[in-house]
Amino acid sequence: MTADVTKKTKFLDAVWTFLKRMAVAVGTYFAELWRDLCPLVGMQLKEKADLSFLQTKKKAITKIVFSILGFVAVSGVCYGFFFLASALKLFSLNGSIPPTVLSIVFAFMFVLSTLSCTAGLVNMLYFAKDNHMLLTLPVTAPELYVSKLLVFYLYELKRNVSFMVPLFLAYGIVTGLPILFYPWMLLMFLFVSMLPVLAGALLSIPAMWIYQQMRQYRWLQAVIYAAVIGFAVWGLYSLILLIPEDLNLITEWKNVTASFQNMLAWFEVKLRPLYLLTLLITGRKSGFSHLLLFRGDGTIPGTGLIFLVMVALLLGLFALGYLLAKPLFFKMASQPFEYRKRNIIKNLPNNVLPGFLSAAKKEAKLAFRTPSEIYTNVVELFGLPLMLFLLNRLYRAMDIREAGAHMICLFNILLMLLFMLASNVMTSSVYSREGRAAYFNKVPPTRYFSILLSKLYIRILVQGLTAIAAVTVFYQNSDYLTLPRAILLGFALFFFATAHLFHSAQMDIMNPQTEQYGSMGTHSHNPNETLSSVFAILIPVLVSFIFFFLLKENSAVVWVKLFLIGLFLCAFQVAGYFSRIRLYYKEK
Amino acid sequence: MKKSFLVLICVVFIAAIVAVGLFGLKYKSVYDDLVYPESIDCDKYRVNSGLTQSFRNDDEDYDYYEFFTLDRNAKDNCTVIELLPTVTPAEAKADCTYTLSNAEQYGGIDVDSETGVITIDHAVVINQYGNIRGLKSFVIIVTSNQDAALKQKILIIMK
Repeated sequence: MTADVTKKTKFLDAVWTFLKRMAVAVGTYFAELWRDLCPLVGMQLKEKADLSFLQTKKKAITKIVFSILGFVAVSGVCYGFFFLASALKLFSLNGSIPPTVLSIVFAFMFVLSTLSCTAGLVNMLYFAKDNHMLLTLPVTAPELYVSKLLVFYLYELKRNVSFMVPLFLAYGIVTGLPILFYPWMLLMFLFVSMLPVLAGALLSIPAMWIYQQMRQYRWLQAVIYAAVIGFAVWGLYSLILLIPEDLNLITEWKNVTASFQNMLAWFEVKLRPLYLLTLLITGRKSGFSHLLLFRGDGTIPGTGLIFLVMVALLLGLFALGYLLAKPLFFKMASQPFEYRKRNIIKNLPNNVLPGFLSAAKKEAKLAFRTPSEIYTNVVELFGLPLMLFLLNRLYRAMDIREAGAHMICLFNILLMLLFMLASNVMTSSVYSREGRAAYFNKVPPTRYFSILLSKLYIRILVQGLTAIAAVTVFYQNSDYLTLPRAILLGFALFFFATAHLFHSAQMDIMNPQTEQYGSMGTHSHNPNETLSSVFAILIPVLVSFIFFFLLKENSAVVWVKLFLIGLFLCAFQVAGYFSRIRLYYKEK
Repeated sequence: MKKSFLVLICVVFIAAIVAVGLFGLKYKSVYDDLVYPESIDCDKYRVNSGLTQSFRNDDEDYDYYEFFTLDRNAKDNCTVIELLPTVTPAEAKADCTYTLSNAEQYGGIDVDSETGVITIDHAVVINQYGNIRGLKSFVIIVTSNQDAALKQKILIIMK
């Protein structure tokens, strides 16, 4: 028996020693991993994020205070929404807010986050220039891969803390959840934030292939962009059409609440995984009490099972990403760039064009190849008419008196001008952005204004099209606007926007910032852009309010007055622009 | 476009809806939902011994009128204007006649004593408090009763 006891003791000692060694080995491994990852992540974060606020105590305190204020503001808005919804019994007959409401917002944010992470990871994993430098550091490829995922994870965590946490916090306060909900929610968000990052890592592979194809075949890129924009516009248009013409919320309130409740029930069934994820965070009602940790009841699994499935999903996504994305990342990152095969550039025949047309052709090509310009023009051309369509559709659902009709004109003009002039702010750095190459504008053997004006005509064209589209939408959806008034309004808007455009360009000619753009590539405090932004707000406010007061006096003549003021202002600014060119581009 | 401008535009958009919703809506009066009837079935609206006929229509397609009376000056046997409920376009005919006694002139009212038809041009919309609001022109068909205690019914048709 003593021998048995001795054997047993030795066996237990051996097992204990083995476990200790395993623990030490695993601990050492993770400690080394952490030691290598921290500086890697820190380096990449410093590159990506603006950490200048850490330089001084004052900046750090200001940043922290503003962050807290922002958090409180978002929480306040969410609380207000839930409070109103509860008071109006919008989502349920007894006034409670079902967790499905949170699920819908959560689903929307999850999709956006996944798309954003996918796009970011495609660039960061496969095309980032710093990959070549990072691989020379004494780190392994897996560590580098994990560090990149960690950077995105931290960004995702920050995004969730900025929006989702206040939303859940407000929900908890309105619904009266137990006090343990708050730390539990924060703990769960540490896990939930990993989901879009790991999903994005996996999706980055097909996304990268699509991106490669788009780079190779330009027409494919154009087709995809056009399809996405067309689909988005059509989708939004269809959604806006659902707003009824005669919306009487008071008499139709029962139907409105019934529709909301049907939608929630549909969502609970169709998007069950996200609904269960929300239940994992918020817990569930059980009779009169609310349980954070609940048992399964046949239809809905328990907290433990949902949590285990989530962890398994995270591990599965990480494993798949590690097996599929990491090798691809390493292959792309370690490709030698010094002697990479270059595409053969075809020599096209030189078409001789007059000075202005030649410059205009070049600017048109640039406009369609610069993402920021495409984005600005597309948002203006499609965003403004859609926004006006939604606004006027909502107005049509209201029963308006004459003063209300005047206010509708006021707000339509205000929004149209605000949108169009906001898009012009970049014109205040149109010449300076070329940096030290700006002097090339003086080199071609043609008049200066041909070259300088060629940089503005795309914006003028887009503005003209936007004015037509916006006024057409307003005219179609308003009983107050007649055809002559619409035409006068369209021209007036175009003149005001063009006046602002030429004024912004004048500021860039008079006060060029070429040195800043030449040395830094960017200019965060361009005084011309600041002044242009101020005018982009001031002009719409002044014009729309003056119009409103003149409209009350004489509703027929005010449109002509608006047209004439716009024409005069535009002519004045155009004349000023040409005189500035003669002055500042004069050869001394 | 800068992010700050997008935020500003969103704020202005919401303010535009709220402002018009708060300050631009019509004042709700009983005449706001009136629909111009193409014809009136006069038999339906004849008064017998003070009995009134109620035409409340539960069909959601029709607009509802609010039923009220306006007793301006009962002792002088003045016309009491009473709006009939639930007149639908299909049920209204404008060509029937009634006898008329006592009609108060509100300016712009033309009373045809033979047909009993009252025409009010660019005149009044009268609400339940006797206040004159708005500018509408319409034809009134009046039924009257010599006894001031009994109410006279006037169907107001918006033209």
